[in-house]
Amino acid sequence: MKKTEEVFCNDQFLQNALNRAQKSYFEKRRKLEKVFDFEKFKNEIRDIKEKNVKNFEENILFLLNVLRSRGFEVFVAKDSDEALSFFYNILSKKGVKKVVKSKSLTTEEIDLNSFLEKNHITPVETDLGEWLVQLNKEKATHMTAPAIHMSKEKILDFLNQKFNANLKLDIKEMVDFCKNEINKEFDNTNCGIFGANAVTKDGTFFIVSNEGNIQHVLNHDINICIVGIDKIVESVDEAFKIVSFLPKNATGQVITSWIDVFTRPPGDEFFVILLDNNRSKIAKEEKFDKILNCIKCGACQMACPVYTTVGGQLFRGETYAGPIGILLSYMENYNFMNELSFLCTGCMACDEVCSSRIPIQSLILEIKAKYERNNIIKKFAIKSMRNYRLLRAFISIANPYFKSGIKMRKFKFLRDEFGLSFRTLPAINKDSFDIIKTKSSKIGLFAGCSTNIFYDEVGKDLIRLSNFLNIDIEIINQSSCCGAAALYNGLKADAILQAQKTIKDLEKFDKILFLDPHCAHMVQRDYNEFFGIDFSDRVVDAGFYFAEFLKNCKYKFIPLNKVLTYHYPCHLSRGMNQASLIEDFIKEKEERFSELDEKERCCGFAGTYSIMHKHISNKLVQRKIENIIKSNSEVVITSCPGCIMQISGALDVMNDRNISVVHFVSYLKNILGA
Amino acid sequence: MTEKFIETANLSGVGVKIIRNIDFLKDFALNTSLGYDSNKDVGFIKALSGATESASAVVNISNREKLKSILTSKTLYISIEKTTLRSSLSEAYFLAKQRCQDEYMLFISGESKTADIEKTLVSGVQGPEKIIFLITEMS
Repeated sequence: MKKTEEVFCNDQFLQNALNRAQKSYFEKRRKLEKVFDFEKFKNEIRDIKEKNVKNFEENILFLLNVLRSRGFEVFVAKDSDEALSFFYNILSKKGVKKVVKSKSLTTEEIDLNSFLEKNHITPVETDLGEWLVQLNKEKATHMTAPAIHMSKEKILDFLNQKFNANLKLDIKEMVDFCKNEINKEFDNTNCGIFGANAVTKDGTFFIVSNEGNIQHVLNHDINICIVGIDKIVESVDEAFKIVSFLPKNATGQVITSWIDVFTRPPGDEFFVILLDNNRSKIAKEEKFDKILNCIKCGACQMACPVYTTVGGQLFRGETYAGPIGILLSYMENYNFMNELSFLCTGCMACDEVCSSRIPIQSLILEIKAKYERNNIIKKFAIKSMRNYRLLRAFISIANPYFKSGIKMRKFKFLRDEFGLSFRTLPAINKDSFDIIKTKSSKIGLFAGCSTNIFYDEVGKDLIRLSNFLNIDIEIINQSSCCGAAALYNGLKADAILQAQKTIKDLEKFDKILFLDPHCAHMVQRDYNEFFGIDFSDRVVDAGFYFAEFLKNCKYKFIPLNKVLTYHYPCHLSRGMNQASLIEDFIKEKEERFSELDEKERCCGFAGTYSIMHKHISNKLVQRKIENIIKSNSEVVITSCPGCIMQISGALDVMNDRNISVVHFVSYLKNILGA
Repeated sequence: MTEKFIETANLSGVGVKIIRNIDFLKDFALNTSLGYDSNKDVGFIKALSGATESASAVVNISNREKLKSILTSKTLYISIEKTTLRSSLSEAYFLAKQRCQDEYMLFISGESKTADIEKTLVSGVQGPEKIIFLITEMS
């Protein structure tokens, strides 16, 4: 896996293709977001899906009766084998030797093409992207853009080779060539196989498309539709809601060029296969039932920094790729869930764009816990973080050896192994920051492990700032790590133990300030999940707290008067929705503020992720730095010690001393002269 | 309704013309007294209704030949009577079903297109390269 990650990260064609796709997607999406209420749509889709998942059995029975009463042959396949056997029976009975296909996602789940080939029946994909990947003996890597991983150069090469053609590197010419080749196949069979985006329980099928191939596929004597039972909805209104929002969220299109709506397709015979394949099982699993809310838009793939770095050839299960691929692969009982789920950085970019508000990141954390994969050293390190006395002892012992940072410049093996080749780590504090004694207050500061181990200066800046502003803040003497490191590494039981200890530390405070938004988000969201204790009124990012406080006060600010920018930490922006206020605050104070391109994109730190998946992490931070350089900034402000560690560490390796990375609290202290 | 339809169609990059009748299609040797007709380059089809939320026309597919005719026209004109415009896809669908009992309705909102190669948009794949909506006053 590690070597492969490196190969994908360095595949420049892939990088270009994914970058272009992502950029184009978000440009179109942002235009539509101004016209359509995406948030309202998401709520509606979630409600529709949740309701119908609850009514699974009733819906299936109703649909079966309706379709059979129309004289169609309908099968309910409990798994792939049953579905394939139904296909075989139909096709062999009818003497079909070739089929044309469209809307093939569900058939990929049962690997229909391989099965048909083994049984001497030729499947021909007719969607251009699907046809290209089939021709190149690959798998589709994106739900709505199957050939997203293929560069035009690669496509040109194999088209010229395969068809002995002499095409030029011209996309229009290539598309015309492909469509003519595909078009020849429509008349070579009497059977079309397709999927559907929604089916009402009274038997109305809905299919969205753009190319026009589906209509050709439907236009055959024998039609076979395979559809997951999760696609069944109660009414036509519900189905229209889904097919209306699907293209908006999937590709930034108002609507697809075509929507086929039928109760009987053209042709003489119609067969329907309703595929279960663990769907009814997952529908009964608490939390995981939400996986079935997915309408297969693929937006999470476009938003995911890991997917858009390595693509869906690496970041995939058996059938499905990217963040939703982890969840659907779990449903499919994929064998390597440990490797797949640990590719997630936990940045929540997927949650933000999901069509049906699936809590993708939280479910991935649950999956990580089920398929935990940590080596003994890592496990020991994370587990021992529940004993802060031990951690403090470690800090004191390690300090003399890492006074000027963790760089391992003389030890290449260790440097490569610990991801120090692309990013150094800062010096270890002399003592844990949280041992500083302060007077008792109802406002507490939970500094977090990063500040306690590496960034005591940020903590001290906060003390200077609060003293300057006459706010009494008590530094919380931590008993344990908050548990975030454990939770995000699949050690949920340890996370709960650490959380239990931390809760005791936090109980007495009316307000708890955090220097690390990852800890804050953990306490706010996950403690509620673990224990049903709602800390949301008390938890606040320290920078956010001061920015809010200063809104109503008349202090004199001395701007840095440098070109500066603000990077959004994932947990502060998507987790707690507190980043934009901080950015606005800086913008107001600094005339030379330069907005960061992709400011919300993960920097690739994610704790130990940057060691375990160093190639991906490196790629992510390089992209962040490219954007910083593009902004011409001399100072990068952010609100997360982890992000500071990643960005300044990478700048250190690049020997770029002209850009400094500072915590917002330190910035605030500076401009107030505290 | 018409303004909204045009606005949404523009968002999707599809042209809309408001006309009194579709007689000009006779210049392309098309028989406008039929529900649909086409030669290789130009075709037309009369829609049963239209939805403004997505600028879509709803056409009934009564037979396989009609479907083929739609797909093989390079430029497809779709006429929609102004009075049959509805706000939502659902409303447009139910109106179409009221007007015609056919079991297959096709919503058309734009030309046949693909962006499967490096997200570059190419029009005219397995269907019309260009769609033009004609909003008519006639009933």
